[in-house]
Amino acid sequence: MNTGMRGTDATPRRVVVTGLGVVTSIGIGIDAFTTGLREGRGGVKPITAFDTTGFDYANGCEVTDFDPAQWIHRVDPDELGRASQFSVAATRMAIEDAGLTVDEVRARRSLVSVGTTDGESRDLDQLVETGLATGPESYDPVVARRVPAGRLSSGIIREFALEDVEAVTIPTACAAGNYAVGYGYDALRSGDVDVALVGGADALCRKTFTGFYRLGTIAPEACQPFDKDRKGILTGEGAGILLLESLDSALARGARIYAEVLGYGLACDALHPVAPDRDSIARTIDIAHRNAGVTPDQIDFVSAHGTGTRANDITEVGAIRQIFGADAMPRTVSIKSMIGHSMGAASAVAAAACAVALTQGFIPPTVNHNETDPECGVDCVPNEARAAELNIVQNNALAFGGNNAVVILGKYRSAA
Amino acid sequence: MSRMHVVVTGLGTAVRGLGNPGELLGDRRPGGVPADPVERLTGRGLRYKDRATKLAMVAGEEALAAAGLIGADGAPTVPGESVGTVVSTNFGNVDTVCETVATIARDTYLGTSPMLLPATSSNVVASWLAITHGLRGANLTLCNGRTSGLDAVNWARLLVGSGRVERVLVVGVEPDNPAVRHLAPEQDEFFDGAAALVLESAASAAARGVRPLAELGPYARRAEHTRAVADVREREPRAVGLWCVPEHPEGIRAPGASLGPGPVGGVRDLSELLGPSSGALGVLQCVAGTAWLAGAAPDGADDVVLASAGTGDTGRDDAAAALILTPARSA
Repeated sequence: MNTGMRGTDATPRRVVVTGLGVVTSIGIGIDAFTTGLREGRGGVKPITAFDTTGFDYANGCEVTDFDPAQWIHRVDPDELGRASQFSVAATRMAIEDAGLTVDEVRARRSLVSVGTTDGESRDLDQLVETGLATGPESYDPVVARRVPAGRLSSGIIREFALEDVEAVTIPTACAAGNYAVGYGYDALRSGDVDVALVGGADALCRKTFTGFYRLGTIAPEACQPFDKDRKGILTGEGAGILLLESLDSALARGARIYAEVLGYGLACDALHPVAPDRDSIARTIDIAHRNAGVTPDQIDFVSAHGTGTRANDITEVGAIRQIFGADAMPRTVSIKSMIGHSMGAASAVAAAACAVALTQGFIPPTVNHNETDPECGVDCVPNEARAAELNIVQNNALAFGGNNAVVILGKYRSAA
Repeated sequence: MSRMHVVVTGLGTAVRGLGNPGELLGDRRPGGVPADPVERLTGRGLRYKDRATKLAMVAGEEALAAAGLIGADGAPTVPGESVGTVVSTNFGNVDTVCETVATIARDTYLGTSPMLLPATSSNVVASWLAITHGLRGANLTLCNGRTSGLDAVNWARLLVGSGRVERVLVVGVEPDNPAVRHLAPEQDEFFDGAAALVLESAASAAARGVRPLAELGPYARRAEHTRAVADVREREPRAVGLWCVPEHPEGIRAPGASLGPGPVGGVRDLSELLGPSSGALGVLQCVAGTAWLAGAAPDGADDVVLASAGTGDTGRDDAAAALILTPARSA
């Protein structure tokens, strides 16, 4: 298997990130989000998205200052579920951030690729509760129509009236954002499209919170990846959309280039539905490095999946150690300490964080950190962002089902 | 992306009343009370698997075995890293999700089983296929509306063409259960089944000594059905011997073919035959088309198969996709 293959065309196009849109619990829009990363803000607060009566604790990283009407103009926001609202809003932000008009995007061959874990499960929560209380005949048809997860992508197409567009919704759970970025990279690299709007979106829902709670993996108050006293995840929500285009296109229009997508790797543990596998994660990292044409010593920091559970952090760090060597461990951070685990959005938002980190020269911190777990033994850039000259960063994403996806981003430097 | 020749080397189905993929070409609905295909599954671990996963496992195993990629023990005969998995399903595990939500609403979280959490993950079908057969290559799931099945076949082609894997198991599956019926109240018929195919490069098939059954031709996804079909027909102008049409094909036309009750080698409306098959349709079409090319096409004919899913602007879908399958040639 030629996992290091960089494309089959003689001179495949280089792919760059020129626009970022994010909806997170520490900031909406890339500027507010970046400020939040730099300041090490935390988005945790008591959950209001659903009734939490009966849970001993119910904190999460909910987005509480999101006004869909500010971002969604053409489509009636009520026709979209909350995750679709996030994906559409983040897309408008990314287009504007890229300095493009909607008409300019519409005139190009485009790809819309959105990853998710839960789709519109919050609406499913509501429908099923209604069904239990008064029977399915009382379903609100507007809500029922919002449920198909394909609307996370098709909502974007409707809002921006895109015509020559390929659309995919990728439910590869908590690694879905990186899958979407990778697909956009391939589509642009091959010349199939001229612009790609890629990322992920998810909304807090009771089903997922409860599932993790039942597994005993919800932290009571704080998400503390790599800390010896870490107690688990905090569920979060939001969206991250990256506008990708070819380097030639970006240069021709004088666009600001956040980062270059150097490559990515996908692999599947094929072992266990929940437990991550160190060797398989290491294999995914290796595939990504080969695909990007980089070596471990070139990676300036790793944006880890870093959920804050005991199993994830030890296994993931073990995989990183396997590739990098115990004596050459990269700085390994988790922004989930700030924004919680936004499921299908997580790795897309993290990719956006990597892109601004490359541009602005800082490493986002891992907050809520008291003492590093010796079994993890990484420099997680505790509590305060760190200034750093960065060239290449790695964004890990792992999911239930052993779906692993790793994206490599590099700082773009002009040849001049 | 890739100009590599990608071929179909194995087919599988899990549909009540269908004994083998070739029966997708029959004109009659499966009759009687045929056995449930998931009854073919045996062993432990079935309790927490949803219906879509079980159907996909049946069809997937049949396709992998037909392609010679697994042995009698279900283990791969090639390195697991070389085999990817792509699943298309729009409803997927919605039954498990709805049951979980209902349990929480009724009995609080204490009523839920920790064993069920993995089964609520949206990628569960592809994950179980991978775990069952040790398929360790790229593993992904699409829920792309009515074009999803054809999109999945094309994505599998891209994975092979870009060198990320050597071969891919593609499965399209939709379950029929109360949760699906509640979410699609406008439907009065439901498809319950799965279809699967194995794709690999022509060179890989030749190296393994496996006979290619069909080759993937051009694919397009457009806002209008007419444009999607015109796009692929422009790139592959050979005569269409079989056209597998979208759900609700009323009012759409394809160059060189017309709607109507056609014999084998004419027009196939698999949704009419089996029920609206949503995310499974594109894969069902490719399985039927491959079966036709591999066995039912007239001797010496060079006709191709056109599959189209989603009616786009013409109907009520947000997009339309078209894919052509051609007779297989050697590497």
